[in-house]
Amino acid sequence: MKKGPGNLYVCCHVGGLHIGVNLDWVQEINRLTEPTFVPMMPAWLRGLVNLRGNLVTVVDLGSVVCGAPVEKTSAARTVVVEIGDEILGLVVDSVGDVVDVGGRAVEGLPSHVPASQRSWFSGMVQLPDDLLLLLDVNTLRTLEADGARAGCA
Amino acid sequence: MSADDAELDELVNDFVTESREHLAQVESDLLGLEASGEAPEEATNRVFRAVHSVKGVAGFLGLENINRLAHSLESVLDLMRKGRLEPDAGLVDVLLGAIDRLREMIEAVGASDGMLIDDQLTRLAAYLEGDAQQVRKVAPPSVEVPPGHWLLQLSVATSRLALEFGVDAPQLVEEIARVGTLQSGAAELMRAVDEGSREAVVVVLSTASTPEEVIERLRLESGEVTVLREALGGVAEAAPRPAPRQEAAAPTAAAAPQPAPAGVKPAAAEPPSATPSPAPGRDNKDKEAAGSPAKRADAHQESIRVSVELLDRLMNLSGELVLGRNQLLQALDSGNDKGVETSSGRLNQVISEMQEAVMRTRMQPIGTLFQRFPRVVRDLAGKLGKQCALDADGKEVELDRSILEALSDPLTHIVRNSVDHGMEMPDDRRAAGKQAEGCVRMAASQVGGNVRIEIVDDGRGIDPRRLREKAVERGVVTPAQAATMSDREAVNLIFAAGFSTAEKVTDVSGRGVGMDVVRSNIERLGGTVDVTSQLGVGTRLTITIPLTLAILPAMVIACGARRYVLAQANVAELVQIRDGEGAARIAELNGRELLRLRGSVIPLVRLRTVLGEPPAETRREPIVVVVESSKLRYGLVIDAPPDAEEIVVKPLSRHFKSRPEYAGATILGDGTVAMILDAVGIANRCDLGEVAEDLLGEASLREALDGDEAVDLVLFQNHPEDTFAVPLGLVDHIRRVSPQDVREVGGRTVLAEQDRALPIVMLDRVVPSRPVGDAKVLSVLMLRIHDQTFGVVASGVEDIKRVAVQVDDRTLAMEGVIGSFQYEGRTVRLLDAGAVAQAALPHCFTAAPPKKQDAAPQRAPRVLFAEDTRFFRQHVSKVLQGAGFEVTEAEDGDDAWQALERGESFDIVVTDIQMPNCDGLQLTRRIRGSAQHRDLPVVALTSLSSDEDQSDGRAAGVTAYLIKLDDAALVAAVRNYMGALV
Repeated sequence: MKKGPGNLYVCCHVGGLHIGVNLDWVQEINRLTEPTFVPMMPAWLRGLVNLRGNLVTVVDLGSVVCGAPVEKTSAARTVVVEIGDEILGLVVDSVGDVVDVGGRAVEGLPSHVPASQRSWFSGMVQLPDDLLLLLDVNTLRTLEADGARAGCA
Repeated sequence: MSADDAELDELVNDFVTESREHLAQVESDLLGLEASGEAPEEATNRVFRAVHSVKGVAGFLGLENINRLAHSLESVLDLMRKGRLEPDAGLVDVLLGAIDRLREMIEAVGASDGMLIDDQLTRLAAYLEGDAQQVRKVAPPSVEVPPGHWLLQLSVATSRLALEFGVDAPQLVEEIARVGTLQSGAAELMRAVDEGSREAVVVVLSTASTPEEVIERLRLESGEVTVLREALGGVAEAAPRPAPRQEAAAPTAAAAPQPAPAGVKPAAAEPPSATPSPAPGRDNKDKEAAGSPAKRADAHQESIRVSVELLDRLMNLSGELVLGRNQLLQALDSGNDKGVETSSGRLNQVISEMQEAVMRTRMQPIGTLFQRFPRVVRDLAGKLGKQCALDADGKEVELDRSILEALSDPLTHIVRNSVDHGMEMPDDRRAAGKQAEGCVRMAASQVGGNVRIEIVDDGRGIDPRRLREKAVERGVVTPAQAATMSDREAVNLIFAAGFSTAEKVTDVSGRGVGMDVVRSNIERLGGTVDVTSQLGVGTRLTITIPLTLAILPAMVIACGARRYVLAQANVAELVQIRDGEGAARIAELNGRELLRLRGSVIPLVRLRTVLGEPPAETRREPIVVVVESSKLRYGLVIDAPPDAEEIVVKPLSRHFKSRPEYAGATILGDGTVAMILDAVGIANRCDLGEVAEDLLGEASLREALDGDEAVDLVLFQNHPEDTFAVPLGLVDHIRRVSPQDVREVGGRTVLAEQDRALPIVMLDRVVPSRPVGDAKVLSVLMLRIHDQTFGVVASGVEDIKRVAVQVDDRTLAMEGVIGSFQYEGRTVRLLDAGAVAQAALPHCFTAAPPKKQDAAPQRAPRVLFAEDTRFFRQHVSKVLQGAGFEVTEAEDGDDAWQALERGESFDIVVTDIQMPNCDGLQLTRRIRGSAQHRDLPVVALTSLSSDEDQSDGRAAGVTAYLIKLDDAALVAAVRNYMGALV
């Protein structure tokens, strides 16, 4: 992979995993404010937030990927990503650096990663002291509200 | 582009926008004129003024062609205005044709001077000619015009000019004569000035000056001058030319008028081949050549009108924005974190509101789209020899203008189709027993997050059989598919690609591209289209368009800690269930709550249940939102009165699509997010469709629920095997008590309360029944009879049911029981509460009844009682007789009336409301209408007493309204009114 734009990932921590969200998707990163809860929705959907007049669907990345909701701590953040005409807010435990994965090989996920988790990631990059799972943001759009895909290992 | 050019463009833009509106108005007025067959002053004047103002501005802007056509139109309209022309179909056709052309030119304003208008002018002139004798006189065909002179026809508004010049008649003629030679009209002019006539006088002037100069010198309006003949030779060249293209055509045009009779309006004189004459416009700026039309057309930008109120709001909001920014800067400067937070929150809100307001500027009522259709229908029907009217409803529904524009073509196509294929010929319609004139109805409404547009015609309908055949024929579906299709599916085949419904292709519709394009256009907007049809009766097309951008009048409903929004369009009414009324109005059937609403029954859904919220803790008076959508009607129970707010529907991510409860989301005024409830989705999720069908399908159930014979009863058990019922109207409230609070004191049973002991009854002591078993909690039904409250102990209260009482008063006749009935396989005994009270607590009830008896008249008071149900008739008679009245029974209102007419004397009338032949209200009206019985008190009995019922009753003259089976109240009321009488 080449260095530079397109290869920059925001490194997020979710339930012990390091997940990279491509910076191109990211609009902004906010402190976690509790969104407006929407009844009858699966647990991973934390609700809706009014972001300057636009509605942001707040998705708990912890619930989606690890099956445990992100706790509201001072470190918790909402990573706002824009995909197509939808704006999603990804709730993560904390946000670390922006890393440039250019020049590193994107590998497949190791075999011990359960199938339910695999679908969220497009690949994995080895960092000097970390494994960065690259989030496939598009799959988040296909999360089913009936919870079919929300079940996690 | 110079500043001048920019200014001009702006003017042109304004002109286009304004003219569009004018013309739209003109069109509907003209159609109205035609329909009424006469020329009502107001509408004609409106049309005249609109055309006049188009003409005026076009003249000012140097839009020669538009000006000329408008002028010609104006002349014809003027005749109409003066009553010299009748607006028959032919004339309206010509006028509409001219208006169309005018519109085309206005839409392509830059190129308008290159467009042909001769046809329209000729047609209009034909009408003018009819009235043109005068004009002929003033302009004889043999006018000799010196070379280099223009022959101009001036329309001189004498009164205005005389005023402007401050001159009298001869001077005005002189003034004109200074400009040129008056060829005709001088006498008329003099006369008009002398008489102070307001009407314009037409004169013909030959002059060496250009029309421009004439206009200027005589202070005329450009529309008031028409070129009859152009100057020939070198002088003409001096006149400014608008465009070279036209200059090339000028010789033809200039030569052409010669053979034409000069007296006729110039329009008629134009040979069809002639390009518009190059009469000079005022704007000399627009000289630069052939490129200019295109340039102007490009420069012309769309504009819409925005209400000042909205602009003010935007202005206000931008002020707020500045304020917010200043506060934010200040807070940042002073390092005041709290302040930063506050002001950014404020900014957030202001910006949201501003966005809403900006969106609103784009909203336009669908009426702007609808108003073109009367014309479409009229023209088409005329062409096809059919008769058809168009009705439009819901014009005020607002849609984003982009959506409106995109809807224009599909709707046009559908409407044309309706007329072309749907409507029968007038003769066929008559033969089918319909009115010769068909009707196409367009209706727009907001339904949830959608705008629904219906196009309904009362034509011949679509034959599903034929459609199947044709679909197979054209290979759209296989024969097997066609065979399994329902009629409804088959009818929807009209949307299949390459499928035209036309039996034969006409030039009107049915050219193969058709409804499939309509469908794809609508689907592109995210909408759907559906068709239903009944052969011989008509066709209904329903278009549903999401109003993604639309402003929605909505109700904000609090539920739990959050707020939700329901589109006002879904709300038929709000019903507040008052404390005492609750049980009487809310019944239960098969585990489903039902609301009784003016004689009908609608299913109830509790919003809390829908949203998975726990039931409300405090028992407040519930409010029912009666929701109405295309196919269903139900009540949504909410906790508190809703607020009204206008909301903007915000797009939601697809995650919410699978939840039927939500139609979208919005941001409320205070910046919080609220989900928009989908009334239909909620109904679907709660399977309300089934309930509705149940209700329709099972006549017995409906009867049970609807019939007046049904009564709300509280069902309770004494012993689990013994179920009793007591009319709900008698139950004050129900208490849950612990068994140790029930005490025996001096042989009587009381319920110990803090400061007093309430008398209560153990049923097994009064009515043959098994005793209440051991229970941790007992229920006590507190009944109120004769203003005395006492309790009936029950082991459990089952529910409040609305049941059809087919009471058997024989089989289980016993002390304290009115009768029995079967309910869900059990035998339930209907308690005679009064008897129970008296038997169990004689001390409480001995004093009350005789109280009034002292004042009672010598003879027993006579009650006329009308009731169609045997059970009630007997029961109430028994009650009244027990209270010392003499009762005459009548089986319905007629029966009762006859009794009155027979001359029997009564002191009071007690009547049921719903009865065959003559109902209670009719009976009351008869009584109030007769001189003899007018003053009789009338007590109406009903199983439901809602406000509406009561007001109906009051209007009819009912003295008092009582709930059935509330025997004590009945007796008291009868006594009371009789007392008043005696």
